[in-house]
Amino acid sequence: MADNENIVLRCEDSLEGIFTGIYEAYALRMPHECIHLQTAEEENMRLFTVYRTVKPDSIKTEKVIRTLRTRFGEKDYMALCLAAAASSMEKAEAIYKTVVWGLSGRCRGSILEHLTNDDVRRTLELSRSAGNELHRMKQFLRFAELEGGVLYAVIAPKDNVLPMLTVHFADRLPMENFAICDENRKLYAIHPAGKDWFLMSGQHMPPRAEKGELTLTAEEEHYQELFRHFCHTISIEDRKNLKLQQNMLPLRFRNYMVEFVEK
Amino acid sequence: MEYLTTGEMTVMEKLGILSDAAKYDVACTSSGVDRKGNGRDMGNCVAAGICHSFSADGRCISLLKILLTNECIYDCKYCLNRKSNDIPRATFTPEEVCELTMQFYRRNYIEGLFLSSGILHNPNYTMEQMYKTLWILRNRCRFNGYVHVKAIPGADPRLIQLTGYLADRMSVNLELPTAEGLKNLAPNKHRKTILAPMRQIQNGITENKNELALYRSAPHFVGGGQSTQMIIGATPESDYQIMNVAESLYQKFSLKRVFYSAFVRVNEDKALPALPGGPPLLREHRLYQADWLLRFYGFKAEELLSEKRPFFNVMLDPKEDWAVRHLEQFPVEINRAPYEMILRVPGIGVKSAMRIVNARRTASLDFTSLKKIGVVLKRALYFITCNGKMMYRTKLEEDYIVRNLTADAGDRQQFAADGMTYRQLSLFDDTAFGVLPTTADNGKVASGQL
Repeated sequence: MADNENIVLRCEDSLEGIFTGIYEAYALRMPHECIHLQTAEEENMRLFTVYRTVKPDSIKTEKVIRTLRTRFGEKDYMALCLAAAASSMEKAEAIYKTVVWGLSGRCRGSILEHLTNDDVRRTLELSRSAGNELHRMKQFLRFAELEGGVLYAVIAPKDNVLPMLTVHFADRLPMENFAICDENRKLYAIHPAGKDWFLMSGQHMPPRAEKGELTLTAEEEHYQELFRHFCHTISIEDRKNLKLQQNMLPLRFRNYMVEFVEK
Repeated sequence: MEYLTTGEMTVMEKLGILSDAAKYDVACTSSGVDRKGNGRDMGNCVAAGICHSFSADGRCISLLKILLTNECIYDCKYCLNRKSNDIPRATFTPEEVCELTMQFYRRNYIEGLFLSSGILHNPNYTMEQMYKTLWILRNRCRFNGYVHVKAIPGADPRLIQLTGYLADRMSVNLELPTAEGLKNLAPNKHRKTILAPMRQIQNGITENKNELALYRSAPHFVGGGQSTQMIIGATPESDYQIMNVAESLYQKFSLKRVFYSAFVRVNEDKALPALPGGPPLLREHRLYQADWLLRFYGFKAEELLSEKRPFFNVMLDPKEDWAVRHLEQFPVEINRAPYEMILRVPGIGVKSAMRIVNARRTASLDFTSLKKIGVVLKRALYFITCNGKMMYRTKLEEDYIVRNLTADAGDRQQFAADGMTYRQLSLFDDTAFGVLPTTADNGKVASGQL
């Protein structure tokens, strides 16, 4: 039976988890077709399959990152990281098989150009969808000034884009104290003015200013009102096209945006 | 409508008046500049641009688009802010604009400032005020985000030069496609005074590029390039004329973008056309499609239109239209044709064309992989072969292809003037069919009234 035996490595749903999984898969020294990676619990257990759980390990992750960077280049490495942030269940398997394909020596140039390979295409799709989600968060995130001058934002992204999002805002607002909360993962990014930012995970849902759980400054209310007024007057009545507006700005984002929250 | 109130206006009132007055300006993009934050000042720029919201007309809100003032000494017939209109007038102080920009930017409402203005007193005074605003914004507020500013035609070249060093993008409005149209509708403006600053900015950008090549820390002059806009449908120009104007602007003035703005009738004036069907949005849409063909697909204006066919097809987009009239160049073999030819196939965009060229180096492509790559086969299948085979048995005939391309007119319907759609007649077409009879109806049936 040993020949046909499949091994499934269960890893944590994070970049570190997936990369450690890839390291362990190589360490098994078995044909790659027999090894599978998954981040979530299997609903239907497979026959003739051994399930093993992989604990995230920072040293192994470092090693994998170094290999990916030198062999694939910065651009492809970033694409793999974005794919690892996607919310899809099959991401670990797709990334693992893409890496195997890339390191197999059969592949020249950028791995992500080999679109006829299904795993590569799947990885690219995942990375694109996570990239789009990241861009939408850059667009639609709204900070509100809390009493004390801290800027505070709550987001609910489909994919785990908070770390990359915080990189963007830390570059943009280096001298601000700000916090961004991911409601879906109960994850917080905190940026003290002029210092490095860090991530924290919490137990509770982040408080919302709209529900009166936080107090805003008087100035904040004023600027929110100004922006609402601006959004209203800037639109041209003769060209009204709510469907186009909804295509560009889907409803799921609007709960968190000042110009759409009714006062 | 409100009338001028005595005393100082609040910022809210001013913002209302001056954003309302600025809304017919179309260029609200924040693209073209990639600038990292400097670790101290607020702001950075992303090359792709970021839209922060979308207004009810579906247009993006990327920049704080406002006029410095809507007072104007000119009397352009198409403009809401013309001298002879009796509307509330307001003027921002430079400090108010800076404060609004900084506070909005901090909250991630906007990507930067778009500053335009009516002409207050004279062009020089107006340009001075705009320069002052930008100077305060850059030097006192230390704003490092995106700034788009209008150059006022007729202002001192020195002022335009100085402003250019503070802005990421500058634009001069061409207003109308031809000099004749401009003479009829904007008696105070002249083609020459519009083109002069445009040329000046173009030369400034070229010189600055040479400077930057030599001295890395030289100040940037209009790093995001120059754009312009023209109003479509206020004057009787044909699409062919407009495309030619746009093409020469791209070639001779090296503009980054030309924007087209469907004419909205805001003033009652006998010189302006009546628009019973609303603004010419479909025409604007076709012009933008053709504009993309010029900039990214290697088309030329005279390939798309000619003296004899001066307007775009309403049913087909410009690329489909070109393809069905040049069937001798099709079908294109996906696995062998050059990139330039693949780019000309309807249903294949710049991205999918790049992916095809990259992917076919390692494997032969078939229709399944094309679909996965992102090609719109619904449109492309009439024009391509994979390894010598077409997807289905199709005829390479103009009539046949046009019929099939227009059969599914889903995306074309949104522009239909009356919103009417067609469907097959059915026996159960009575719309009241699903309504259940009420108790009163039952009574009527029982008593034989119905």
